[in-house]
Amino acid sequence: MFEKNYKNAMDNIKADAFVKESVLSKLEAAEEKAERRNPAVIWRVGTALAACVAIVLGVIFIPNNSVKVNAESLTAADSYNEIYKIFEAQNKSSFFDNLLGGLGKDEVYEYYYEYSDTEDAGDTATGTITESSNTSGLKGSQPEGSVNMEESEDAQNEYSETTEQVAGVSEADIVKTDGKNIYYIENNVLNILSAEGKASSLLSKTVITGEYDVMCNEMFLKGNHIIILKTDVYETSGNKTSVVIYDISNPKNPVKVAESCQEGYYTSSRMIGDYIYLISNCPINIKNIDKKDPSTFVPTIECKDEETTVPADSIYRYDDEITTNRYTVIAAYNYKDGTLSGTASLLGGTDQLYCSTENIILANTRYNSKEYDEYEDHIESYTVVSRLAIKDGKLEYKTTGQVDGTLENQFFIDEHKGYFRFVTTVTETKYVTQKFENSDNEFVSATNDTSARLTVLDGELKKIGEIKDLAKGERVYSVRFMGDTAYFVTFRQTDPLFSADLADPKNPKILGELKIPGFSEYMYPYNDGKLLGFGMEADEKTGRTSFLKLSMFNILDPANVTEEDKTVINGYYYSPALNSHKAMMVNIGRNLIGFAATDYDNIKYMLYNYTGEGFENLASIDIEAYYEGSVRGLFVKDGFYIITDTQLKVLDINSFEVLLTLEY
Amino acid sequence: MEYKISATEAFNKYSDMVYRLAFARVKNKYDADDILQEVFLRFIKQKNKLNNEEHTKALLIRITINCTKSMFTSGHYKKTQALDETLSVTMPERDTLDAVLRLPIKYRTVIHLHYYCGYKSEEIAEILQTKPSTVKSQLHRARKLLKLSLEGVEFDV
Repeated sequence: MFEKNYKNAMDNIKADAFVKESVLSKLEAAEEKAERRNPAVIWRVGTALAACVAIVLGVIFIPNNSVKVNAESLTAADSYNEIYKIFEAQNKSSFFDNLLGGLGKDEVYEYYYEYSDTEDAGDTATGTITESSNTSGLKGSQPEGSVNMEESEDAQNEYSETTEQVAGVSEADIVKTDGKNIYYIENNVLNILSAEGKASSLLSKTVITGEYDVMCNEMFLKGNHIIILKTDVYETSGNKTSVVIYDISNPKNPVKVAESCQEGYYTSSRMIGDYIYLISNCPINIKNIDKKDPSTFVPTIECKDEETTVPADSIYRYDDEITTNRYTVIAAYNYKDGTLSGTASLLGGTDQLYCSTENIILANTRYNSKEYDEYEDHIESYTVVSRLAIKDGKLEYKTTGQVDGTLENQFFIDEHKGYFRFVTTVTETKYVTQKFENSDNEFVSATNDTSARLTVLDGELKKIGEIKDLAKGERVYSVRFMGDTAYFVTFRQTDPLFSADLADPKNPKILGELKIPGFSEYMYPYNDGKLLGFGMEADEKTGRTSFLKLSMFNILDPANVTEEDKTVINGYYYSPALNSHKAMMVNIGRNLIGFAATDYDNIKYMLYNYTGEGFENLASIDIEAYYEGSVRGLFVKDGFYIITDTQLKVLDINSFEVLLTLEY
Repeated sequence: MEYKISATEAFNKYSDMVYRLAFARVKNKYDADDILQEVFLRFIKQKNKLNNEEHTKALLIRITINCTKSMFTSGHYKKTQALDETLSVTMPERDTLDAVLRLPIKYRTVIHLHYYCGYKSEEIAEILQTKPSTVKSQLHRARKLLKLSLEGVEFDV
């Protein structure tokens, strides 16, 4: 009914005949002109231009109209008054009249939703399996039934874990297991299933409640506690993101222990030791701020039924003029009782987040919109990065810097030996004015040239080294830092895998480049100097992507990386593991690679291993799911479990025979 | 069998498609007129990379979305005009259109691409160069909002 009505109404919307005619005649003229050009000349001009821009780039490192950020530029606000003045000033400025301040309630809603989807970027863009190591930093502090069992080798083969980027930093996901039960959240329901092979069963279903529209994003599991990261979505503004803690000692009857919440929508989270670090983006409706009521312009945190605005001295802001209507709120909670142990807020949003055991790096991409209007050539966007030191649930803001270009996911950021490394895609927009053939009218057309850039910042987030203008015309698809070496894949038509040496952070060098068709979206370290890539195959000439692909790179000699083996999964176009490392199951101990794949009609769960000679398809299991992003695979002892939003399938891990299908 | 399409051919085939998407995004005919021209002029620059009809449509949709985006950011964007009263549509059709146009821009874009252009979420994700999960959650939220404003609406998903 909706579809028919909408179609009928839309069918009535047409450009007037005279508009069409006028456009058509302009098109004919413009096209005739374009066709007559000698392509060879264009090519030569093209390269000459590119060379010029490369030189200019060296001069304009920080776009001149952007917010200038330097290492000292973020300061704690002394009082709420100071914060109020910032918003008040924006409220008055004409720029914001156009962009934000002038928006009515509906538009604020709209604006909010425009940005609220960064949560998808935040939670799906996440890490990969950690390099397997024998370091057991947290081992001693784990309670019984600990989650962090990947630390010991025996446990690693007992059951699988959510893939994570940094060893010792847990990442949340929609599925968790403790080797006994499987925990799965979908929308607002927590499902607990026993992992007992053929005898697996649904133990309980718990509805997570909230004040308005509840979305359970992800969860952590530690000992007897499940920590659910929930967002209450309100119609206009003032969303809240909470840590909801359940005691699951009795999996048939989970008991809610505590709930603490902070303002804003869910961006990302990490768990280190006993502390959950929760990051939310909190927009402020600057039209409605009231000087006497700080809660209208300062984020609030609710803990043990006590609602407080965050202290003014924990809010950091730029000294320079800022044009933002949002905060990034970072808070640390104890995983057992939800007590708040530390908080910090930054003016400005966050798109990507990297977390090591000692630092959180927040990255926020910004566009040079002013220059765009003036038709000046420019670098399209830059990323503001801020560093917070974390220790035992305490947060301390350190500094802010910036890199040119954009980051795709958390793997584009890395910390090593006190240096911070970033791989970005830099887009330069160039404008060309052209005349129509038979008239004096001109039109401006924009071209976007992309390239890859590697930037090294020191602990103060000051640039100390970089490599520019790599892979012209291509975008960076995936990055993997491994100690002193970085591997990254760029793509337009073929997939060059670059390896870069970062041993001297001031002087990073490109070691090698390998060109193969297709690209990898994520890369996972495998054993014996191998790197596993998961992505798409593509036609070498046209760059059109075809099917999913697994690649095994040999990186024993970083200067001479080779693609040792690959397998193209014919007929399958899409996998949720292209978007999130959490949807990919890579276990080196068991030599298992698992992911969901779809041809857009059916979904299958694919299991592979790597024999050293090539990939071997162990099983392709038909599964059902309303949404393929909800599919996860994991193993517990001798059972392999595939869990989706509608069913659980249990397989024998040796024969891959389906033992049980449980609908719930 | 090389695929080739001229801008005028593309215009004759797809000008309505581009115009309606532009309209769904900017909500008025004046801006949609401007966008129509801009989209096809930009299309001339890029059409040589195309392999088939589907590619052509996807590229046109992408350009349309980019063109409308710059309208919003450049301050050029004026307050929405009321919908043309002369549209010959029934009341429920009119209500449906109004409800869609009241949605946040992201949502009405995916709703339009899904229900009017008939794309699946994965295809929309590819066209918009975003993640299917994002498109799905947007569609989900959009339907939810539409259900609120159009009481008892049925979706033929």
